[in-house]
Amino acid sequence: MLRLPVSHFAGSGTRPYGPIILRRLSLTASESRGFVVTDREPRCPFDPSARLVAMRESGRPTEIRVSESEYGDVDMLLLTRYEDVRSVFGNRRIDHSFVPAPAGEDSISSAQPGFLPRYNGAEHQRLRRLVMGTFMPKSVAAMRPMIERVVQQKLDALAAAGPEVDLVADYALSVPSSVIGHVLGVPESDHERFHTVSAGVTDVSLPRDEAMAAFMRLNEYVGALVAENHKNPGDGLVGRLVTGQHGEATDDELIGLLGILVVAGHETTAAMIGLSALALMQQPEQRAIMMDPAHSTADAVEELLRYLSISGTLTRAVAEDMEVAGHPLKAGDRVLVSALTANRDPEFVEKPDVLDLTREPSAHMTFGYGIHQCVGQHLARVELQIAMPALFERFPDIRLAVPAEELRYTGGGNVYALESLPVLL
Amino acid sequence: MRITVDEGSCVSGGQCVAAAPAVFDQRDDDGVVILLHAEPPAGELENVRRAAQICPAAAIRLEEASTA
Repeated sequence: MLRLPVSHFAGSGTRPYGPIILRRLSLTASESRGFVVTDREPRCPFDPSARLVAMRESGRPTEIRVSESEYGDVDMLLLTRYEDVRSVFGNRRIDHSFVPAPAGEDSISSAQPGFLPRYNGAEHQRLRRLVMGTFMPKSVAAMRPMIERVVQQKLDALAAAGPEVDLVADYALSVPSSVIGHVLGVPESDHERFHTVSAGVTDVSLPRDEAMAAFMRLNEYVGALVAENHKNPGDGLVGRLVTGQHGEATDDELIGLLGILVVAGHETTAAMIGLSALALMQQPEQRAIMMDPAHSTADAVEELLRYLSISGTLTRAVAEDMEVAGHPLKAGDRVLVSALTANRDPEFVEKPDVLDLTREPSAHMTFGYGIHQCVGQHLARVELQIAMPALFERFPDIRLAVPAEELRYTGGGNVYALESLPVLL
Repeated sequence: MRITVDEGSCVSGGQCVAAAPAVFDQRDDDGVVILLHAEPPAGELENVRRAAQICPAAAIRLEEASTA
């Protein structure tokens, strides 16, 4: 395996794997990518590609070379079986790690303290615990009335804009953006500006310099929010953080921490809402189950999370020499895992390629597993439990406005998602 | 069955509460696990086993009682 150059950055609790860069700035440009972990079958955009499935069926990890024109080639070990993916996520000697930035260049997350995914160990735990109280099941349950109100507002806006709307821009993206705005304590009068700033960061089609600029705008926005809450602490998460209610942190750390929450709380849930809407329009019998009060909405959402597997490339690096799935690795070697193939592993669930909303909830890997498991998973679940049935209840005749073959998807970034979803209400 | 939890390694994921809300709770400020019943009633055993199995930090240990 290629040894990556080692450099140091400030902050204990992080290991020196080299500068860190956002995946979407490195692995996502399709022209420079050697491989996409979220590869789908062209004929069925919900299913893993035949190539990925063959890798899993080989029963062994696959050595792959991720070719990056900017950074050179990086060799990685790709894990595709459920058991292996779960074991990598759960191993505390395997750290979250990004692909390094080009030599001499700053990356967004290495320039910004508090960017949670790049931390490991005690510092990671300290930062994570600052926000976890906000995302507990009981905290999220208390947000239900707010989420229901947001969803109804967006449905009203859809009805006013119809009959043809883009469900991605006008619902899938706007619901989570408003919800995370409320969670942070963004004043409602400023939600539109907040949405514009956060949407800029989630646009994977932007070239590197524009993506960096979008992140700087988000940091500035969040920085202003932190400053405002110092003067006049609100009752949102930002207000609680600046008053130290959940523990101590510097303002810089808070900006990085809040920035990642905005990004992670936005595009992931948006991807799930868009793809779920498509899947349920195409499979009316499953949609009927979603709408049937005799069936658990929570179980239905759990199956959509498993089946759609929207999480993107998840890179890890081993902290010491070790064997992973029988494969010897040296400290610093990169490991790539595919939640998509893990969730579709026949050794994990029966008939894995069937969407069955009556399925017993499974321990899927969509939110990851281990110490980096998704901070906002319970919030995402409740948003979906409210947003999906409400959409079909309000618009029972909703249908695609274009042939399904014309729909376009983005993959390989932070998430797998629809670019747009034109529908008739 | 006897349950022990490791607060030090808990990552506040809330999976245990989702699986067995009668047995586990979370601290309000940082979400760290609170064990409500170290010896859960028979009706909760299945939920507790699931909680231990899905805990992302492997912070829940179970000692299955020998049938004495």
